[in-house]
Amino acid sequence: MDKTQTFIKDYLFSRNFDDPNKPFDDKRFNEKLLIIPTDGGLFIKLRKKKKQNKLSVEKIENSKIFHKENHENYKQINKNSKKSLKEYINTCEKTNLQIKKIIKDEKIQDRLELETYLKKTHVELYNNLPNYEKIKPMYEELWVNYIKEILNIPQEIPNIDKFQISGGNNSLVKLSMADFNGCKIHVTKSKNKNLINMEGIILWDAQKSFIIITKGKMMDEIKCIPKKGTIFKFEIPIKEDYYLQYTILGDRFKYRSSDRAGRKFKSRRCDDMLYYVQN
Amino acid sequence: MLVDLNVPWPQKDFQSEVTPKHVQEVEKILLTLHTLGYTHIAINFTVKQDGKFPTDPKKMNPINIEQRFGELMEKTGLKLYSRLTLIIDDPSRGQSLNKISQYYDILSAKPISEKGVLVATTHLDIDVLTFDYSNRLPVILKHKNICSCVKKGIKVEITYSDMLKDNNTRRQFVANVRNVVRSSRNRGLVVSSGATTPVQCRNVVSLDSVLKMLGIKGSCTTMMGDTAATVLLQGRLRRRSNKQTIAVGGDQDVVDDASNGYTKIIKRPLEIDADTEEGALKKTRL
Amino acid sequence: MVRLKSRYILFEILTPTDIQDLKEYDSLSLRQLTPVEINSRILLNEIRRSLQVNFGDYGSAKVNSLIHIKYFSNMTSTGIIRCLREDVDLVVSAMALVKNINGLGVSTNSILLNDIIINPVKISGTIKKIEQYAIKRNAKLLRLVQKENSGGKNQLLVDFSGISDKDVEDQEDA
Repeated sequence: MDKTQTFIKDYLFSRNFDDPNKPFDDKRFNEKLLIIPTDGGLFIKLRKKKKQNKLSVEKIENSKIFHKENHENYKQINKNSKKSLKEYINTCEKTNLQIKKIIKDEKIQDRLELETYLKKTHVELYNNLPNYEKIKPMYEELWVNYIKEILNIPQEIPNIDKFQISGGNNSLVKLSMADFNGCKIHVTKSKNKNLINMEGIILWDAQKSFIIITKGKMMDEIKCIPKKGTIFKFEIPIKEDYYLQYTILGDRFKYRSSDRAGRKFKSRRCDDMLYYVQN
Repeated sequence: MLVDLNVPWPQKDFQSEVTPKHVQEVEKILLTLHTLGYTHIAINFTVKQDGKFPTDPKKMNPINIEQRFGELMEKTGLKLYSRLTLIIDDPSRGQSLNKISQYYDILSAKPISEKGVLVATTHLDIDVLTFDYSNRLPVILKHKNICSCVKKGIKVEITYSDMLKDNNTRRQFVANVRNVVRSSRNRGLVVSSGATTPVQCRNVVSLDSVLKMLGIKGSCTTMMGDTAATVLLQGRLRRRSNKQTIAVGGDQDVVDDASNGYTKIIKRPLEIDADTEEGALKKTRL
Repeated sequence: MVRLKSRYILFEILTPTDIQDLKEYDSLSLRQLTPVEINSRILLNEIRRSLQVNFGDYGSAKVNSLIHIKYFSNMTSTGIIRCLREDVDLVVSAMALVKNINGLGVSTNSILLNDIIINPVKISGTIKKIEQYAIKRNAKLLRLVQKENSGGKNQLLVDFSGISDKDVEDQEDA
């Protein structure tokens, strides 16, 4: 410390002040001040490198390595999945048409008959047929449990008369943001009279329509129901015979499921929903 | 289906009480409307926006449709709804609609000043816009205001009971109706009775001719039927759905369903699929 | 083709203040008999008066070129008015603005029947169609009333239905 004092005194204060001892006398000089020789910038370089090698969330996201792999793969997967879904739907529809023709030609009247006939002659068609029974348990169990989690419905309900959903209005808000892939849906009213009473499980929730698989008498078919001008209803089983019922107004639901999650809905004119009230 | 959206409820404000005599008068009016062929009727409670709104949820809707008119609804098959009209004079002194809008099916506003017209057409979340047809209109109505209102979904209402009272009220009524029809360009009009005595109710056929004389182009049945039904639908959806996306209930439509609340639980026996093996087993067991 | 085109209006008179009690209400409680003093002449006078008050000299003179009450029955309180095709709206609006029925004569301004709704039910171009409509409507109303009062109150209706032509002849002989 004495060294520093003398050093500072001789070289700094003598040139700035008239009396170099003045700051010492006034006690303006901090005795703990240290003067250390520099190392030519080595230390700073080392510190910088250390910082660079530290791992953080931003780094992971921005790093070239990760980005490259994530980007390519993700896009590819998305494209592939869209393609495969389209292919699946198209093949199913084609097989349905072809099988309808076969039914007409051969005059098949029973489902069993149809299956045995197809197994013998057109094995490809038989393999490409959609199967309602296979999809049903997977979807019903998955989706029902998902919805019950969202709405906080307990698995066991002792007394059904006292059952109430916590936060009534909130449950409707949550439902409007929920994902409906896998819901069992039933068309109640529609401008197009052919669509009424159609029922099935949603395979894909598109922007302007629902793609559902219906159970038919002879074969299970894939149908594409437009959301515009239709009203749907769905039920959530909470106990053995008890269901919670809700309606979806298709006219106001015409958004992609990903867009719907953060969207703020506004009430609009009801003039286009006149078919809902008329008989 | 014929809808009458305005049968006034004789209570003046939230603090005063209703006598059984008044309720009987309302019953008479409802029965007369039923004989004339109406199917859906809304009972209208008119209050000033300045006044105090009650905090007790039981007092929010003093009309109590199920208690007072449940028997009537069952006997005649009428469907009754409750409606609130706010008389808007000075919007700065008024209260917000948020709390009270849950308790009524239809909301409407009746401006009696220029500021009131401005507030009612732009800011408020209502279904129907009314005016007082027995006095001079508060302001010269503009196409811009009222047509934008109708685009949003708010309908303009004409109450025809004022033409059956005095000679002077009849004159004001004719002038006001012509003004309203002109400013709304014949769009989004609803006709309702506003009958305080059973003699003031009229048939669709007679109203059709009267309104033709007053300059409304278009059949009265659509105005009382379809447009009025959209008002009911809009009001009901505000209460029982999340901004018209997902609504409660499924089997009956939202207008017919008289129950309240945010959940609808139905009991239905499980559907048994006879095609699968399990289903067939279940059926044989039954 | 130049032809006189007219319109026939089927109307009925309702008396809404007669409702006493909800329990006694049925389809017929507003449609009561009109008193014997009221006939087609008095009704026509009332409509002309309403036209004069509401539509002035021009309106009332316009309609007066052809206005007739073709049929009016006190028992069922229904009637048929005939007017020109261009004047239908005027006549119907005038009927809608009638609140009570006054007696004849300038000096005697007595109200014969107070608190009335004249209710036009159907407008048609030929009287035949109006008659058919009226018959159908009456049959419908009768069915409704029978359904509503099955048992108990309307024993009268049930009793009258049992009378056959033979009974009437017996009475005439006696």
